[in-house]
Amino acid sequence: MTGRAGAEHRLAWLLCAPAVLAMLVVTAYPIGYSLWLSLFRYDLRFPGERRFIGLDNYLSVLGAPAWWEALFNTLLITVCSVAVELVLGFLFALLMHRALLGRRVIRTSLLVPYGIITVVAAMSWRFAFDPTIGFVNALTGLEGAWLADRWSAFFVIFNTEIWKTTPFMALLLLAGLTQVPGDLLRAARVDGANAWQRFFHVTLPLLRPVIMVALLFRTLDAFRIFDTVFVQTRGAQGTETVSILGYNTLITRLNLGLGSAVSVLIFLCVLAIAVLYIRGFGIDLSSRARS
Amino acid sequence: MVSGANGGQRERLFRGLGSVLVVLYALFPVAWIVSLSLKRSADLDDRRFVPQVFSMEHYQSVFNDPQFSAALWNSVGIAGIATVAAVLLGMFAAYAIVRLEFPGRRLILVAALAIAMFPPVSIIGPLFNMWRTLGLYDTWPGLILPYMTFTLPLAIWTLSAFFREIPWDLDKAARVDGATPLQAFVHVILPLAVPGVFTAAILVFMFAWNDFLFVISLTSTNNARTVPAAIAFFTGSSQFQQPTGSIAAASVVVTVPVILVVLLFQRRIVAGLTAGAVKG
Amino acid sequence: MAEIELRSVTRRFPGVTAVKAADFTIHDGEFFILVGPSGCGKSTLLNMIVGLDDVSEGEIRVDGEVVNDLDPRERNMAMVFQSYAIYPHMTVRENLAFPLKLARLSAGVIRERVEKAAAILELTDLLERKPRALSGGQRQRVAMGRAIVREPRVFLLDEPLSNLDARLRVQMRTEIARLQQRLGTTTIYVTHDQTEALTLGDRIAVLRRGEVLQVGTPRELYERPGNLFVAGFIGSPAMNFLPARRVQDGLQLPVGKLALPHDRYRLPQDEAAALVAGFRPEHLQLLAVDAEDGEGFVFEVQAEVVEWLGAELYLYFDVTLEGFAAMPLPEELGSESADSARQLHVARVDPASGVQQGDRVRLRLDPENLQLFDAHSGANLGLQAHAQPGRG
Repeated sequence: MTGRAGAEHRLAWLLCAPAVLAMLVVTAYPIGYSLWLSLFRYDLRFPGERRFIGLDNYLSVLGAPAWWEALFNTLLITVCSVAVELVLGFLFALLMHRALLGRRVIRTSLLVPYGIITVVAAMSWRFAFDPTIGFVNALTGLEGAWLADRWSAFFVIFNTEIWKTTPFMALLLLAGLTQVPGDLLRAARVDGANAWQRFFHVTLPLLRPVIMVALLFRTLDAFRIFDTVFVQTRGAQGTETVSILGYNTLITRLNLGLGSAVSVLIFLCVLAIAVLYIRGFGIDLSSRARS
Repeated sequence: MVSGANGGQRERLFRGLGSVLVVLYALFPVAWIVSLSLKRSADLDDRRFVPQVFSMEHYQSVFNDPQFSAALWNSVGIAGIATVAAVLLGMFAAYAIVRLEFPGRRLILVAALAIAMFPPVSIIGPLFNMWRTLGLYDTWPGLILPYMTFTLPLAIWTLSAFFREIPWDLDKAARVDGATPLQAFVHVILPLAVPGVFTAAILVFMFAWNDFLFVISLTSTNNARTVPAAIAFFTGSSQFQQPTGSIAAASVVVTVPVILVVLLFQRRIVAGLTAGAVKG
Repeated sequence: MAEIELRSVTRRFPGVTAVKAADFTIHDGEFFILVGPSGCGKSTLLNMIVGLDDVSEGEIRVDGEVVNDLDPRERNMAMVFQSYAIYPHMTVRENLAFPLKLARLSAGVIRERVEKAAAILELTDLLERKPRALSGGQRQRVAMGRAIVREPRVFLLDEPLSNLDARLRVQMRTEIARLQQRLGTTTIYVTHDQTEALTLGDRIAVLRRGEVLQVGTPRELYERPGNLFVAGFIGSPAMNFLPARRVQDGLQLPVGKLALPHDRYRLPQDEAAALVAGFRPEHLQLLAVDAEDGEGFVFEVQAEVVEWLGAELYLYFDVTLEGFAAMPLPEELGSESADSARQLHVARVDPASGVQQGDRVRLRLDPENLQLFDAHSGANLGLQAHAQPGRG
């Protein structure tokens, strides 16, 4: 290694060090700390009673129906919203792709749901579905309180989430669409393929990498859902998600031991999803890491 | 893509209709909350979409509310500082990653990706405890630090993608022309990097502006409570009435800047969002 | 003005040696060409001379001074990049002025030099434009302008014409030649195009896979190539190669037999050694139907393809290699056909001859123009051949 290369390495590490440090201190250390805390019985309301109990917290959590219900709820929301977002996002993307005029207007409009504060969006839709002040009941002629019942509450949450995050999916897909070489589609047309066939046999395969990355990030985001559920139901009526459960245990009930166990379990779930996507669907993230 | 021989008139009608639907879809809830904010208190439960009578009373009450102004100030300050910090650190790291050869380059990018996928809920517990011990609970730095951490991946990926677009021959040309590495950076690279930095800043700011979980976990008073928390826990003027109008008005107040930013910089934002995901 | 000496300059990367012990001298004021196929190390060598790349071993001396450890900015050399690398956010004037500003020259001197360079390169009307408003040829001139304002002691050009269309390329080629004549600065020019090398260079270094195979004037490389690769690389259309073997009274080629004057070649000890015979298309003469064979080596072929270009006529003929082993030709020269038993060769003949496709014709070659190579080492066996690769 010549002198110049050595100096280059040093400069590089110097430039990266602050960022790496910032990223590690607030993630690596706390997650380690979380792991540690999860092995203790530690309730901040009774700090004196703190003691080591090994994996007992995990057994408690895994034996609690609340955890499994929360997990189910979370997975339900994740799967459903990502599925709908994909389809809807594609529709929007195709629309934007073909629209010559008004593309700017559409793009700007779609960025509003993306940019709006989640809490605000949740409030807006909560008010919309409110039986007293909302217009949904007025329009549909229905009477009930949507957020008072589990499945209708899910619908509201669902609706809000999809509204907010479809634009992001649509924009990613649009970017991918614009990269499909026009020549390939023209060649397919000459070869006799109709619009459907061109979409399925040329466009979709070429979009696969983009779709997989979009799905990965959206799935992880959906799994971590918190703001919307908190604002709309606080997790009541059986709509608690794992993040809400974690928050309630840690911050509301100040049970650091149990809460940390929940945290670690959530972390493992997220890890599992990521691994599933990367290994299972073969997303090549390292090629993105290469220059 | 030219429509040419397929569909013509009918297809254009379809697309026009589709475009209108998309715009409606996107702006619908915004229109709704604006409408709510402009209704008189008494009319709030009339369940109409458009207000019968317009009233600015909610805006007045919101602006007179010290809690809200404090939250606004906290939001702007904390998000602003976190953005500056994240973009600065991210810029250095992105420059090194794109421009220099060193072991661990890929590792950093992968690590950044890993952090982007991280569930924040998993660390609010430890952070809560740590911050209490360190005296950072309910303070600005107490929020700025986690914001920085969680936006750094976004900043690094976006900036890397933009920096990769800069032709590095220019840097070599500048060095041959007689520039020191610093001069080359300042006179040639920096002017070309500014658009990317700006875009990254917008994306990072949006992220910090939007956060809710960290705020409600790591703060408790007006010292550091930001707008999302303020809106979620609005108590309003009356104890008995749900402060719908105030919430609506507050929401509109914080959404207007978002709409402005999106309007002005939509091209950049889209470019930044897709840069990491697609061009990678 | 500068003399540049390379002594055993080597560049190693993990796993590959990009430049192997390059050893030659570039004289003051010379227009020196580095030519070779892609991947041969010519750009790496250029980068080492300007200081953008490190030297693993060996010395680079400019006017006697070792410059290995000097930064580019300390070497007083100017470079024109293949991509031009002109600063997109600066106007043409600012681009030209940039190096002078860095050198802290006074505003007056800067203005004077910028305008002089602009005048030479006909950029005066474009001074206030930004690069995105310029055509490819104009950008290229801006890149050159930025180099000449500095009045450096060496110009380095890295394939400056490869991004231009064919017509512009020819035009710019003569411009560059004239510019260098006028300024008299030592110039090192990298290209993969042997035409550019022959037309522009005072002297040429041919590189292949990191090795400098031969250094010489265009004429030397053309008439006395030191080895198979140089012979096949220089000259267009490329030299024809045929396998050959020694027989009792001379040399046996697939197309016929000819006598071998013994004092013209240094033949290998092993009589059965594989040899390669080479002759240029332009050295083949077309014999009229009724003409006699006459002196020289005559053989008969069938015209497979005839290309008439007005001032030239190219005649392509097949040669069947029955009874001869296939030749190991350097892959960068491109193999003519997938079928190794037959090879397509070319002759350049009189355009007025009226040859048609399918005609059987006789071609004559003056044995003076026959090159003979060792099939394994590629070395030119001719005694007059430039047997000193890499020196100069």
